[in-house]
Amino acid sequence: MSEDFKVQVENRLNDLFHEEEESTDDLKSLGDHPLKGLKAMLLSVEWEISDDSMEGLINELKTLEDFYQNDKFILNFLRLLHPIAKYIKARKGESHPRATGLLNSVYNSLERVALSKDMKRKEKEAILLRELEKFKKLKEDVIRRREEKIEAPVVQAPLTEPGGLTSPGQFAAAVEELKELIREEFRALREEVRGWRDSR
Amino acid sequence: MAIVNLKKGEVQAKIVYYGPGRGGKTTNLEYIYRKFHDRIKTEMVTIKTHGDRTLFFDFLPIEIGKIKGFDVRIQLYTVPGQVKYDATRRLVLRGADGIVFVADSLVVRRKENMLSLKNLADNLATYKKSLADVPIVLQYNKRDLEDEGIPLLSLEALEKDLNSRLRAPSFGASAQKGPNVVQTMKKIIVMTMDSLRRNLM
Amino acid sequence: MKKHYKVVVGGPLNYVFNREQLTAIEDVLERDLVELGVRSVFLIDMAGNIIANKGNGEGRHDIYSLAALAAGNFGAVSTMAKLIGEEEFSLLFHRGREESIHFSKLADDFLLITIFGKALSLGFLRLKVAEATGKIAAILEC
Repeated sequence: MSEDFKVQVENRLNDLFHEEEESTDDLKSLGDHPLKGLKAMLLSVEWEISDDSMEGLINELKTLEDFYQNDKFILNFLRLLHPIAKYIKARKGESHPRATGLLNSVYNSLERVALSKDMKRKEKEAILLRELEKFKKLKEDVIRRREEKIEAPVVQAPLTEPGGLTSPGQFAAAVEELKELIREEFRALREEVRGWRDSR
Repeated sequence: MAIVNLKKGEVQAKIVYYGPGRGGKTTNLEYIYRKFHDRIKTEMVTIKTHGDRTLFFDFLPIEIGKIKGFDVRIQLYTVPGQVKYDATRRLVLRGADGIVFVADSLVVRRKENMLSLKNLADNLATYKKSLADVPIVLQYNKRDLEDEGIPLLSLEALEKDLNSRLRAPSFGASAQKGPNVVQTMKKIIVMTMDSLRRNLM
Repeated sequence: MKKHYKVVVGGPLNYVFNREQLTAIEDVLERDLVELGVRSVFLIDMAGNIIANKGNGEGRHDIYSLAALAAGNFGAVSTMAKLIGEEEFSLLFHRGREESIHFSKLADDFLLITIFGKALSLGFLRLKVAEATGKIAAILEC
């Protein structure tokens, strides 16, 4: 699908030429925003990975998933964070080295989307999709590590059961839904451009 | 404490220059560094105050080269001499394999010399060592000031004050001008290596 | 595996590390830390001597000065801990813009110093360092 391809190209370009907006370490920039607690949890995980710090993060994610149940975008970001957190809590020192980095990356994207006043829906989707891609890549690498016996196999595989998306099927469905949304946007845009050209 | 690395064939030992403030400990290292850094090829690290007094320590690593098949690496350290830096002195003294006590030959510093030597003994005791246990060389520094008419303690007086029981090798020296700086260093390195060899046999 | 031995003959405490121990230690440093992305890691004693070090080849730090300063720094901070009534601090870490440095005590006489960049999270590094120091302590039979 050429739209799919366009999205991939866009994402790749964004990745390559993305000017990293370093999320500030301090919490003051968030004021009294509901995400402040989550940021605080992530900062403490940045300093120390323990059952306590991971538990704190997971609980905060659960609370926020309730709070944001009507905001599809933020909810999906939170649902990305949840399985990563569970994975790190379960595997600790044996988790993939990129996992904690991905937590921060997803959160930074979430914060950008949540704090923006007039970000277009299209852009929000693109950002979410980008994080989703990274998540998928990490999942693949984790599976490969297990196959290569770098990581021991586990009875439950937290990384393949994201938060409220309880099965790989449902997760794949969510990804498809997003892709469909993006295709819609492109279709609408093409119509608009055609209309504009025709009227010249 | 010395480290012997059988894989690399390397021995590392630590020598600490101790003594009262402004006695010439740092000057000793600076002289060695200035004179030989082309040959030594390592850098000297100093941590000083604005007033040019050692705050934490000075550090100069020296590769001696091969002795009995082992590459010998000596780390020279100085301690801050001012009385208030006692905790730091104790820290830097940790793991010392050999000591150079740099005494100030100025008459007015007689008491400081003795207090500093006592301080050295006390700090060694925290590591369960005594002055008799560690290779030590005494240096009576600033001998060059005699020519400028400044009252100095005689070598005999210094020996009596500081070395009557210890009976350690001693040198009159001038860290500013050079005499006996290198000799002091050579002596302590030989004594330290010898002591290590005996301990490891 | 040959034992390392401490020689105390009423004098200084000395350590002799044999070939097998050093190779084993270097293996741990390489596999557990450098392969993770750590720029430079060294095992030193509290006197500032270097026992082993591994790096990823980038950047040439003056490791001898670093070792001396690291031992001094750790010693100073440990003394401060005792002065405020603490046995010891659980974390000594300095964050830089590009590179950071982490200190970990190993038994009574050694320190593991790691220098790492932004890609590694401190929390994760601390877990890996704890594993590595455990393995090294076993090699040294501390």
